Amino acid sequence: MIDNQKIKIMGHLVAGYPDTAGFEAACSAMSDSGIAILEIQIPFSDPTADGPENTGAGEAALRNGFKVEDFYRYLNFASARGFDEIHVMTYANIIFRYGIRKFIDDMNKAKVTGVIVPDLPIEDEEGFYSYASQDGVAVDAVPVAVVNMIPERIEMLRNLHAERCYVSLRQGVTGTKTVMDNDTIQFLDSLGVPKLYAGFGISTRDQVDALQGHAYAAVVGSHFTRTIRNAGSDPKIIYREMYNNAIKFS
Amino acid sequence: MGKWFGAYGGQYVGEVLKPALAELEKAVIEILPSEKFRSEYLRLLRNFVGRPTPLCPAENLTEELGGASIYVKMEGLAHTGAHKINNALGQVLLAKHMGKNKVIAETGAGQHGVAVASAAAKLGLSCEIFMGSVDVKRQQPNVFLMKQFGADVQVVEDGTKTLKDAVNAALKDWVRESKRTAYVLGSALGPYPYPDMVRDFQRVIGDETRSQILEMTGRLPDEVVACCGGGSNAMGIFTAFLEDPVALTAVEAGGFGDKPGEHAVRMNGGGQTGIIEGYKSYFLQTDDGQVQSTHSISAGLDYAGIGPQLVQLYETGRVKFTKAYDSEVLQAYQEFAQKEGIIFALESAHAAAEVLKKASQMKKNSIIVVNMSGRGDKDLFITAGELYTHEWKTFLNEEADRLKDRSVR
Repeated sequence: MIDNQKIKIMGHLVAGYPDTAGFEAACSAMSDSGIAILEIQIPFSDPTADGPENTGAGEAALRNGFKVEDFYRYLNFASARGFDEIHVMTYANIIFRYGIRKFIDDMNKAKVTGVIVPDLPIEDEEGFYSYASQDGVAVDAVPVAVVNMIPERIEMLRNLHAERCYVSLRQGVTGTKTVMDNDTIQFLDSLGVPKLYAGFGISTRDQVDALQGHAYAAVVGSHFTRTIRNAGSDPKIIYREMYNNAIKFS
Repeated sequence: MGKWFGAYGGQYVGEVLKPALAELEKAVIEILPSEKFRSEYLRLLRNFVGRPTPLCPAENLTEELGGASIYVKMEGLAHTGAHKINNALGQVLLAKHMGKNKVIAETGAGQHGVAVASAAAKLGLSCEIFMGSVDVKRQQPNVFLMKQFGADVQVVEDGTKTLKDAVNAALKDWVRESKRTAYVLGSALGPYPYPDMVRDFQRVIGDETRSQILEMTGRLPDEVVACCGGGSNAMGIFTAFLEDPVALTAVEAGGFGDKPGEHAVRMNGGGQTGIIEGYKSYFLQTDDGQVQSTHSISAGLDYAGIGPQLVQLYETGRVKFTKAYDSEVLQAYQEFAQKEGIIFALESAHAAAEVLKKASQMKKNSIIVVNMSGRGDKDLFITAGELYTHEWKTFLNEEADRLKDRSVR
């Protein structure tokens, strides 16, 4: 674990939410306020691992007519903002329909750092983790770990020899408050994956500080989606609210 | 027991659900075959559910159509009005044997929810049912029944506010408290081990039918027909006949048209392979992988996905799939009511419609069995609204007037 390096923040945005201009405002505010890493979610109609905030945001985007092919518009905008890393999060059916290899190839071309698909488990991976680990594929297929997962599954995860891993800090869905306890910290330290992106329910700088030395990045997801929702539809206000909120974390 | 049905099935779930599914798999392997569980389950099927359900010869329609002899498996006579109770009771009993004190379940039309709530009341477990707000609005009688059984009905406001969203909400709740809670899934789909477990609880329908028809006629039927939403009643009646020379036909909801959103036909080109809600199967979906909206006059067939084993049986040709339009379903419902004195549930009336089309083309002395998976009392507000519009409207208005002055209790 990178003990001395300051923990980074990975901010989460849903493509198409609240609309193109609102997304761009929120995205700019994140980079301007020093958020190092961006995670963009491709909306899916049946998001089994999202809490109410991100579920609602994805629904709103789909209601506004979001199509998966529109995703590149959001990705290209974000890529020009100078984040250290961009990760793409979505669900199995989206990339399965797109073609899993083609999706990885296209994310590779777009210089995305990682792709996170929570409902593609390691043993039923559809070629996701194995294809991304081949030589010449720079983009990572990022597996998901959960605090208190059973030992056999931790072993399975270790055998992937992944560079990065997304860790769900509590056994639940995004968007409900998380407390860092010793078990959580011990779990993170025991995983043996170089770069951990730890999230689920982070809404304060204190929670981020508790992860210092134990994770590479802290994921702030639902909290930022809520910021956008509360800001309304004016991009200027979205920018201001997101900036003021995000600066507290960086 | 198997996780895969050819290329379909699997357990495509987030890591958070893995421990709960592993615990369930262990219970399915260890507890279900035990003598203690089997004897208690069979006793409840007899004394509480009312099994075996009869196999009734439909003599009048047989004579009128002049072809195959028609038999109706009267599954709708089971307690709570449909086959759903076989599985609900089995899973609630399993939950009890696992030491859980609470069950949760999703429901669309409310039939599975009513069955789970009833079983939970009988076995002394607390019960929470997730139901989309659109379904809650149109299925108030079932919401009322669930509450009478002491269940807590959680109204789901996500997405399309229907069955698939209720499934998602129930899964999320299960993740939060799987230590004391069991998730009772209502159809032969979802992540492993649900498709296997649900089929095994439902196969009693076909096992009974097979021995009943042998006893009554001395031979196997030529064809067995069932309606097909998720597929639990179809797998329930088909499983016993899979190795027999018996044609198996599943009838999907043709809705009111063939355009996307007007039906729930997943087979014969309607749906494509996808990975949704924890399993790989055929789904009605857009080109870029979003779940498509569906329609059927029967809420129980109005679902974008289908059980993975049925996809395998479709691809190998063992089960033939066809469809019935809403209008054909209402006709079949009336035919069986007037000629046989049986009120089919609208779901099961899809299978009845297929039998009416097919029986006359079959040889005399051949046998066709239709699974009346549910009885039609529950559809009163739909069938009366369609077939008895004026009188029903007047009745409802008068009832509403009568209740106006009553203070809310």
